[in-house]
Amino acid sequence: MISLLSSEATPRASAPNRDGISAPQAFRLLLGLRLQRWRNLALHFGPLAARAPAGAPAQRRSSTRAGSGAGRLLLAAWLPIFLCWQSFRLFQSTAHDHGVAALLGRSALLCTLNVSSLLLMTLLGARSWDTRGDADSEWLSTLPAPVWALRAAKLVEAAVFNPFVWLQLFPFFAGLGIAGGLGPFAPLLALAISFSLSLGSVLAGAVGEATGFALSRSPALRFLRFVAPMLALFVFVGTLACMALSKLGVDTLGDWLSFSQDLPWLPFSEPARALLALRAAPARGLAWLSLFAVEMAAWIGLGTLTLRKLYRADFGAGLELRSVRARGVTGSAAGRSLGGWCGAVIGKDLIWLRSNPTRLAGSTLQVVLFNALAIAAVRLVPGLHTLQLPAVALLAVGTLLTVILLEGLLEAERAALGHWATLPRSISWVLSRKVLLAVALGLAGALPAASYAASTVANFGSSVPALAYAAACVGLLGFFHAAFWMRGVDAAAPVSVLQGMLRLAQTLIVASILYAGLRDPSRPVTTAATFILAVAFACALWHGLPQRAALALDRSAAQTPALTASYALATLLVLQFVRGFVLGVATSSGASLPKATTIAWLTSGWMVLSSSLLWLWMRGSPALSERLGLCAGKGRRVILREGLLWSLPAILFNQAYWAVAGAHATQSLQPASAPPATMTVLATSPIAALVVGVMAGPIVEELVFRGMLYRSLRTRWAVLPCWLLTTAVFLTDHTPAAAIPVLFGSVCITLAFERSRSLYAAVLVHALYNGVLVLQLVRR
Amino acid sequence: MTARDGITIEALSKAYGEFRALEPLDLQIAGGEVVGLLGPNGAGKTTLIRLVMGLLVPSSGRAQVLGMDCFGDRVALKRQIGYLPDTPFFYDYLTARELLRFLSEVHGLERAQGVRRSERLLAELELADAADDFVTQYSLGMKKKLALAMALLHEPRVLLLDEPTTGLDPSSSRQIRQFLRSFADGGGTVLLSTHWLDMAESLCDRVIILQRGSLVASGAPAELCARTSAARGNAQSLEQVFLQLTGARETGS
Repeated sequence: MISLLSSEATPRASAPNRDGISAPQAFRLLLGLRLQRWRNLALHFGPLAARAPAGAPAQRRSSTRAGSGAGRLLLAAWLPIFLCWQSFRLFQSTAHDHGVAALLGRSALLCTLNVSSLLLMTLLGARSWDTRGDADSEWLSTLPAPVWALRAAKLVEAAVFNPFVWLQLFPFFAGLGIAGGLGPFAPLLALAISFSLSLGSVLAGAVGEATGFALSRSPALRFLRFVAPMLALFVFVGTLACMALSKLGVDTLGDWLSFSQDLPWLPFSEPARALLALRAAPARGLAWLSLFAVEMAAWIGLGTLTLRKLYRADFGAGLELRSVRARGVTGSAAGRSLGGWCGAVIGKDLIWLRSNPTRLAGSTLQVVLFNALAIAAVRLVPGLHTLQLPAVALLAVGTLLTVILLEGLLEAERAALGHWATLPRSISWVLSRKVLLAVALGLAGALPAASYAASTVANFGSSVPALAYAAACVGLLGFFHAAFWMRGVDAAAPVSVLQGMLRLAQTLIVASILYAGLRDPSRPVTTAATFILAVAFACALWHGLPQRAALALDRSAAQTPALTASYALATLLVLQFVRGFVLGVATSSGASLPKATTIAWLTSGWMVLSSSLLWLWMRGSPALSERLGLCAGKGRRVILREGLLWSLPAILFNQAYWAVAGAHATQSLQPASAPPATMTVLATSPIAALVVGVMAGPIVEELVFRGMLYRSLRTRWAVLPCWLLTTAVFLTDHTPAAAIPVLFGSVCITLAFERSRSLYAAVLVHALYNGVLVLQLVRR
Repeated sequence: MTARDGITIEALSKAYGEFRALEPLDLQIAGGEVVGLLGPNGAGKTTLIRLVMGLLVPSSGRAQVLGMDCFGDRVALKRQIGYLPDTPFFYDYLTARELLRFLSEVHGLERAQGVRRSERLLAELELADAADDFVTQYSLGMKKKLALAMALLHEPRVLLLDEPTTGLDPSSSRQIRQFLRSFADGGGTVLLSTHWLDMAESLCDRVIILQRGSLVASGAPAELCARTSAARGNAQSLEQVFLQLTGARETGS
C-alpha cells in the first residue's frame, strides 16, 4: 500500500491556516535559496571542485566536499572579495600618490559613464540582465506568500546578485569612500550605495514592464533592451581600454576628455604602471610586477582549472551543444564566474569548430567583401576619406550588408546549409518585415562606433596601436558574447541581434583600422597589408582563437594549418605590440633611439622565441625544431648553397631598385610624420645594426613568418597562396618605402626555404640581405 | 462530502483576446472525488487547472476551492492546494533535499516536521538515493516525481495535477495512481488532466471531456461507455468514446 502521506495522509480536517508567510520571511527564504545555489555553484565549479579526484562523480561533489563553514563562505564570496580588495588597493594607491582631488576628478568621469550606462539599463528594463528572471515567476506564484512580496524578493535577489551592476558601480563609490577618509570601510560603503542604486534600477525596470511598457512584446524595444546596455558597456569599457592605451603613449582620448595621460588607477594599465614603477624605483616596481603576476596566475589558473574540469571530456569527443546544456552550463550562474565564462566560450567554440569547419572561411569572406566595398568606395570617391559624414554613411550601408550576410550565416547554421545558400532568403528577410530593425541596427551601431573609431584612429597614426586596440575590442566583445551566451539568451531574435552587433563591431573595428590607413593615401601598400592583417587577425581572434587555445592545451587534438597560422598571427601582433611598448618606455626613460630599438627588438624576440617554444612544448611531439623548420632539411651543404644562392638575387634586386628609384623614392613614399625606418635608426649605431639587423631581426622574423605562418599554411595549400599571404603580413612589418624590394626578397627567402626544407637557409638569406643594407647605411 | 470540501466552478471562462480558451463552464467536484480532465491538445485542460489555482484571471465566472474564492485570498488557498504544473520549474544547482527544505519553510512547517515529511516523500518516490544530486542532473521522470513531492509536502486537501504521469515508467505511474486513490479515499479532492485513458478509466470517479474549450461530456467512465454503447448498439471502450466525442465534434463543426 502506498503511503506517501503515511499516517498524515488524510487531508487535515482542521480549519485551514489562513496565514501565509510574511513578506520579510519571503525575502529571507528566497535570498537564502539563492545563496544556497551560489554556495553549491562555488563548491561545484569553484577552486575546490577543481581538485576533485578524476573518477569522482560530479553530482556527489556538492555534498562530499563541504569543507568548513568559513571555507564555504569564502568560496561563495570569492568574486566579491576579489573586487573589494582590488578596488580598495587601486583607489588607495591613487589617493596616496596623487591626492584626493585627483581621485575625485577621475571618479567623476567614471561616474558619468556609469550613470549613463545605468540610466540606459533602467529605462530599458534592467531585468534584461537577468534573463532567467521570469522563468520561475509562475512557480513562485504557486507558493503561499503574497505575490508582490515574492516578486519584490526576486527583484532584490536580482539586484544583489547582478555582478554587472556591481562591477560598474563599485569602484566609483569605493573611491569616493577612500577620498572621504573612510579607509578600509570605503568598500563597505560602496556596497551599500551600489546596492541601493542597482536595486532602484531594477525596480524601475520592473515598473516599466509592469506598467505595460511592453518591452517583451515589441521587437524594436526588445532589440533596444538587449543592445542598449551592451552599447553603454562597450563605450564604457572601450573608454577604459583607450585610457590604458594612453599609458603606452597613445593619447587616444586626450583632447576629447581633456584628460592627462596619467591614469594610474585603471586596472587595465596595471602592467604599464608596474613597468613605469620599475623604472622609477626598481624594488617597488619588482614587487608590483610580482604581485600582478601572482594575481594573474591565480586568475588564469582558476579559469583554466575550471575550464579543463568542465570540458576535459569534450576535447576530441565533438560533443553536441545540447550535451553541454544538459550539464547545466548554459544559462546558469556558473557563467558568472571567470572560469565558467572561459569554459563556456571555449567549449562552445570548440563544438562549433567541430560541427562547422567551413564557417571560418565563410565569415572571412564576408568581412573581406564588406571591406573591399568600403575600400572601393573610398578610393573611387575623391576626398571621401576626409569627410566624417560620408564615412559614417558608408559604414551604415556596409553594416546593413553585413547584417544581411550574417543573417544568411545564422540561417545557414540553423539549417546546416552552405554559407551562401541562404543569402537570397536573408536579403528577403531584411527587405521584408524586419527591415526597420535592420536599419536601426545599422544606424545604432554605425553612428556611435564610427565617430568613436574616427576620434580614436585619428590619434593612432600608425597601425600597431590600432591593432592592439582592435584586439582589446574584440576581446571585450568576446567577453560580452560569453556573458550573454551564458545567461541563456538563446531565443532566436535576441541572439541574432546580439551576434549581429558583435559581428558589426568586429567589422567596424576592421573598418576603423582601414580608415586609419586611408587617411594617408601615400601609403597604399601599408594600408592594404594592414587591412589584410587586420581582417585575418579579427577573424582568427573572433572565430578561431578561443577554440584554438583550447586545442592547444590538448595534445591529442590534430594540428591544423589554421591553428598554427592563427597562432602565428597572434604572435606577430604580440611581437609588434611588445616592440612598440618597450620602445616607448625605453625612449621615454631617456635611452637613445638605437639603444631603445635594440632593447625593443631583443625583448620582443625573446618573447616570441619563448612563447613559441612553450607552445610547441605543450603541443608535444613531433620534435620541437621540426615544427618550425629548424632542422637540417636536405643537409648543411644544401642550406649553405641555397642560402648563398638566393641571397644574391635579393641583394642585387635591392641595389638595382634603389639605383633606379633613387633617394627621392624614399621621401615620396615615406610620410613626413612617420617615424624613421628601423634600419635608418640602426645605421647610427653599428652594434645595434649588427645585433638587430643581422641577428635578432632575421631570426625572429623568419621564425614567425616562414617558420610558423608559411610552414603551417603549406601543409594544406600550394606555394603561391602561402607565399602571397605570408608576404602580405611580412610587408606590414616593413617600411612602405621598401615594399618592392622586400616583396622580391620574400620570393627569394621562400625559394631558399622551399628548396632546402630548412629555416636556416631562410635566416641566412635574410641576414645577408639585411647585412648588405646595414653596411651601406652605416657607411653613408 | 460536499462541494464545500471540493471545487465549485460557475460559468468560468477564459479568453485571450479573440481566442476563447475556455467557454463558460459549470462544474462541481465533491470532496473525496477524483476527476480526470480529458481532451485533445489545446482543449483547455491546463487553462482550467491554472484558473482554479488562481494563476490566471478569468474572463467571467467564479471558482471556489474548499469554499474559498480562487481569485480572492490566494495565499490561504495555496496552503490547501498541491499543484503539479505540466512543466515543473526547478532552480539549477539545488538538490532535491534543499528544494524541499525551502518549500517546507515557505509553507511554515516546523523544521523537524519538514524534514520528516521530505524524507518520507523522497523514500516513497524512490528519490532518496538522488536526494543530494542537483536537480539539473535528474531525468524527466525523476523531475516529475520531485515535483509531485513538492506538491504534496504541505499535505494539501486538494490536488491539481497537470499530466502527472507523463514521462513516468509504468511502475512509477502505478504508484502514483495508487497514491491518488488512497488520497481521495481519505477525503482529498483531485483534479487531474491526462492523455492516458486507461489511467482515467481505472482511477477517476468521473471524467470530463473538453473540446476546444467546451465541455462535451461528463460522467463516470463506465457510465459514459454504457451511454455511448447504448446509442451505438455495440460495446465501447473509453478510448472509443473519447475519439467519437472529440472526433465527431471535429467533423461536425
